[in-house]
Amino acid sequence: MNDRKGLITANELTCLLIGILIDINITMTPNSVVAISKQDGWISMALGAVYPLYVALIAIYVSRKFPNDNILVLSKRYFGSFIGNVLNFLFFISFFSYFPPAYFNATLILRTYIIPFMSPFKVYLVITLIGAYTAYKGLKVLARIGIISFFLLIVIMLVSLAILFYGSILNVMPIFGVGAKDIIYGSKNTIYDYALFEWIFLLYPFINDKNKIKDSAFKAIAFCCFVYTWVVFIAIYYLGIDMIKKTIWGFFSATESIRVDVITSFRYVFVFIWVLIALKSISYSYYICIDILRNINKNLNKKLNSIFVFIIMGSIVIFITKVYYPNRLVKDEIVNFTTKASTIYNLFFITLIAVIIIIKKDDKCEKI
Amino acid sequence: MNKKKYFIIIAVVIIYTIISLGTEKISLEDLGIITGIGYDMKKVSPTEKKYIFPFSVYDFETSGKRSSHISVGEGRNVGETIETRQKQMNKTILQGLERTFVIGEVFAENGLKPILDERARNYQTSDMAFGAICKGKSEEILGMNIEGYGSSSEFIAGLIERQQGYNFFSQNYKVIDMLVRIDAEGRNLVMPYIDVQEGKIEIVGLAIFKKDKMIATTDLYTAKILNLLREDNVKGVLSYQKKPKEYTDIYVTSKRKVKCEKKQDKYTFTIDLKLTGNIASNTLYKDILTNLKDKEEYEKLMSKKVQDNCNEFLNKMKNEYKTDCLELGREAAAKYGRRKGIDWNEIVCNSEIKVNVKVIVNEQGRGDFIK
Repeated sequence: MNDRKGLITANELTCLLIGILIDINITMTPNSVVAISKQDGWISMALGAVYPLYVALIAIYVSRKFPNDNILVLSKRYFGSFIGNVLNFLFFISFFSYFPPAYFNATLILRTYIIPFMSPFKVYLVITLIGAYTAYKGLKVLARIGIISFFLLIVIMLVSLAILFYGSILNVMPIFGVGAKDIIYGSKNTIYDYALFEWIFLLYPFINDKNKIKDSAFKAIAFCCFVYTWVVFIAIYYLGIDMIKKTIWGFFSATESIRVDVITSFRYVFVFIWVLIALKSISYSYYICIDILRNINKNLNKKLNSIFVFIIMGSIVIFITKVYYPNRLVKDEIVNFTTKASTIYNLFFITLIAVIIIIKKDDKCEKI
Repeated sequence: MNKKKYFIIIAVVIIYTIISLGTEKISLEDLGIITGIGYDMKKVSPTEKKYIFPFSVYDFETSGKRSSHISVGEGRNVGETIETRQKQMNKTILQGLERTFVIGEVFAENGLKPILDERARNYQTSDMAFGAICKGKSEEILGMNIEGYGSSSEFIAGLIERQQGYNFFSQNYKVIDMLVRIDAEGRNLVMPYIDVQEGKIEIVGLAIFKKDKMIATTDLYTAKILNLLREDNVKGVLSYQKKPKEYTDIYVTSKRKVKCEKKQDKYTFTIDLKLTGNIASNTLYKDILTNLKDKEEYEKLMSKKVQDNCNEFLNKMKNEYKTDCLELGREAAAKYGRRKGIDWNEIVCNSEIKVNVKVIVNEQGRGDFIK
């Protein structure tokens, strides 16, 4: 696991972390946030960053104590092989719960805006082929894809600046008009977008300069927080809170206002860029899930390296998505539950590890 | 290396086959490209209404000539019209390239919600198509032959888009603008009102909406004042005429600022208009080029006149239209809080609205010939 070849730089770590946070789902977030915090939704969105910030702080603490061991190794060390593996498997489940929704979201948006004539199953197949192959190529390739999608995001941000000409600041006013209670309560809807930052617990052994983990984590959070806040803000700024309720993807509807010469429908270009970002998220999910499984059982490590494992994983995901996520309303219901459960478990798990490290600071450290 | 190459080639072939399996390919000649859509409504009986949606579709002839014909969809609901319009079509409909949509008077009076709902759902249509309300039936206007144009909808789209710069028109008459305005708190929609006069399609005023229903239409003169009071950063010509041969025109750009104050339960709105521009023509003042006093006097008189016109319109709005066509409620909502169940149309019409106009002559062009 600790071969020097696979090490990543601090910048690549930042891009990986940004990559795992930012998914195509952000185009839907204005709708869920505005439902509670109305025109102050963007403040709720910014407040949501507290969650990854907490994860980052614990990750920085743990990585200082054990720079070369990831959280799965630590849990096995402190709880024994059996309980440790159970905890690790639950950790796997909590990551896996974000996998079918990612498939579903990307496919739904593709089928709604660009290729309505293709059946979902076909789209799933193509996504699986691309996602699994990318994940198979390893962390370094994923990091490079992270860098590409970082620049794609910057393109999206720059393009959406144009909306500033068309909307009105009156739609966002009065600021703090809904009261602090609703703003804080509304930020619970942002959990889905800020989730999965826990990946940092699996990544920090791979970074070549251990002192830069802190920098990378904070940079990633700051960037994501800015992007999210901007997306929600610009959607409210252009559409107003009454119109956002009537759309499904608030951010896409807001970008309809952008006019580009030569291109008749800018929508296609824009959705295409977002789909690339969604594909990146899916390949990351593949990598994480296989990576956790590898760590749970060292003996399987070699067998799990082949591409067929990815294909098997892909088939399972396609099956689950097809059977349990048939449409958006059902998906929303399931996601509401899985997001809560997995967030609570993840926070519990990382806090538990951190607490045990603090308690057993003196004796256990020296032994191993 | 070789393995990788083969894998990529195989993957590309697989992806291509997966995508192309079971999809039908249509040649360009078999596509019916929609350029304009009309929306009409007919009352069959007092309770029953019938939708009539004419579509202007391009025909590509072998000689390279472009023409268009009208295909009509009829039905008791939007879904039925989609089916019936295909009855006369030998082509597959292609949406998304339409330039304009024309809504008939009767349809607009009964509410735009049905079509806007269809538009908001439809993933194929373009939200950038320009819209207008027409007098009478939209079918007649869409079916008109205009020389040099493939179909009249192309002409109408250009007509609405190019009003910007004159009569203080803005360009906010697209589908997306309608979607954003209807139902938003403190906002109301206005749309250009077109009609056929002496065989030519032209803008004759504005249609005023309350929620999604058209309640009134105005003539072009009232439309000009409405636009001036409603929009920010728009252009138009103002004139001050003493006698038939003595007048001064000024081409101005507007700047609008609204202040809103609340005392107890009374709202007071103040609209500050700053109109800066160049003199376009002048036969009234002999020395306006050199004499500062003349210039100042003109500015004062012009401001007074515009202010009177504005107040006249405000009276009309309060008593006749009874709607907040100036979107003043929006300003109040932004300042004093949203979602309190306030009917801004009523509040605005019952509160005091002040207008302060300031006309500023910036430049006077190249010279002056009246001396």
